[in-house]
Amino acid sequence: MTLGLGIESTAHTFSASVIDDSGKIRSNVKSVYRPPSGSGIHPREASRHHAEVAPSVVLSALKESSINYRELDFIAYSAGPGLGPCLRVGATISRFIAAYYDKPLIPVHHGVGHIELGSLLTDANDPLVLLLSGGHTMVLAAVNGRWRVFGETLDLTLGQLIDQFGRTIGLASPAGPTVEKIAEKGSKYVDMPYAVKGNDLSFSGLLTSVKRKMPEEIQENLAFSLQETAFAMLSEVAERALALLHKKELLVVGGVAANARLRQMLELVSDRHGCKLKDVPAEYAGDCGAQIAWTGWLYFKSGYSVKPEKAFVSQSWRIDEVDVPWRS
Amino acid sequence: MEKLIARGAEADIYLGRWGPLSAIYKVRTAKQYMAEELDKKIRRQRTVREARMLRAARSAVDTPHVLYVSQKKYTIVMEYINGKRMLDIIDKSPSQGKVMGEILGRLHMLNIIHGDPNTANFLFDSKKNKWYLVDFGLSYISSRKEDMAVDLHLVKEVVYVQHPTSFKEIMSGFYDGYMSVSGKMAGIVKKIDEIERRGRYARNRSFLF
Ligand SMILES: Nc1ncnc2c1ncn2[C@@H]1O[C@H](COP(=O)(O)OP(=O)(O)O)[C@@H](O)[C@H]1O
Ligand SMILES: [Mg+2]
Repeated sequence: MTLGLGIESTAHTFSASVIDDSGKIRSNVKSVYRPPSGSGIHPREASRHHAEVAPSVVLSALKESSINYRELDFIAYSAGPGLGPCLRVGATISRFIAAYYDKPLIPVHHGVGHIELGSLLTDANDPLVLLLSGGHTMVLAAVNGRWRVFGETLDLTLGQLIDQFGRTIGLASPAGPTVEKIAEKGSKYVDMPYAVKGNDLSFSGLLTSVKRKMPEEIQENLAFSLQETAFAMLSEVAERALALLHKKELLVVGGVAANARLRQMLELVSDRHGCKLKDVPAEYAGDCGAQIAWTGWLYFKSGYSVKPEKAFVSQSWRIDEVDVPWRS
Repeated sequence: MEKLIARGAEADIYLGRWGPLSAIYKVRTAKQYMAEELDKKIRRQRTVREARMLRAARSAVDTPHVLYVSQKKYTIVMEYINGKRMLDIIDKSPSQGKVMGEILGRLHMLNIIHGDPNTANFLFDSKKNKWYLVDFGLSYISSRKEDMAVDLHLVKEVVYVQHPTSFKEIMSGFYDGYMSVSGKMAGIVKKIDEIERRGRYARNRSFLF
């Protein structure tokens, strides 16, 4: 039995998880930093939060799975992309544990983590992937040992669009769940710019437009129209990829994947193209240690790790530059 | 009487007749997942735009003749191109990348941005020995190098995922072809780099800590 610890700390969430080689998640403990309402995430404040909770979160993850450090076979951490100060907290504690107990240390790309945990939990084989984390809005497919980008946003991510809209109406980030509730009460579609460029998307015009319409329209209708437009754009790009690549599975991962309206739309997209929608249980759709632990195991199995002194973090790490040998 | 021959991202493609001719019916059907107003707006816009741009592009590249447009039914009836898609032949003959480059280059010389230059949108009629370009629903007029660069970036993206093993050869032919007709290459390649480097395209900046 192989046991691994995974530590996630790219943005709001500090989380640790123990997973075994059968894919069983033994524990998945989280602590989420909440900025004051109306303001976005502040990297220093978030990293201070992470540094405070890190030791107890890691300990609880071990306790809940009733093991100690010595029984671990590897330590995996999210090495990027993300906020520098936050990344360093997770990387530092991971490096320390790995060096102290002499365990292999495995840097994991946050986005790959979302995808691989999603594949594990939904039994997806060779999916078309929508990666909708805070820092990513991408359509991907595995080709020759890499996750290749088929389309992506040219400016804001979907998560940033929703958070920034939330902020203008006084919500704390991450604003997704609240914006979703507000949007449910909207009914009138307010015209907004729809910007699909081939397989790529642009959300900045949408944000400008919704801000401009604030004085004359109620929040509910704006939230509704914002979601309808942005999600329709994403659905269309997914359709384009399905029409061209003929994948039989559509996997949606990342925090925004928790949105019920988006899931409903993607369900219809999947039906139209004869494919199966694979959506991850809400608990594991957003940032969590399990995504890092499981991907760590996939690397461990391929024989990949780094020396503690070679541990790195990378604020902007392209997912298509990461080798994923188990996908070749 | 009409037969569904393709289901694209936004339209159903039927093969039928228009008078004595074989004709393609491109029908933008309602998307159930979209808010109705949005869905109708997009279908109307794209139908109108596609018909207009199919015509406008003809002075630079071969496109199917537009036979009839119904805004109400969101339908364009056009000449049927009896041939093969670039998508299905390019892996066997990656040098055909050059053809795509030439076609897109000529289009850009007219200041037309295609908007969706994937390999399923280039059709070869072997009887006429002619390449056709289709699918102009996302096309628009622009003389900005940046817009042209986005078109080229899209080609790169699509070829990368669809034809990974022949990617290099296809793209080198593509750039040759593009440059040979447009001469705009130098400036535009810089723009592609810019697009790919900015924001979400940012390259790796990792450091030890
Ligand atoms: N005029 C035409 N003649 C022959 N085949 C066509 C024609 N127009 C489209 N097709 C076929 O239908 C497919 C989809 O049409 P397209 O206009 O690209 O729609 P979409 O926007 O849905 O991709 C094309 O890839 C091509 O194979
Ligand atoms: Mg097409």
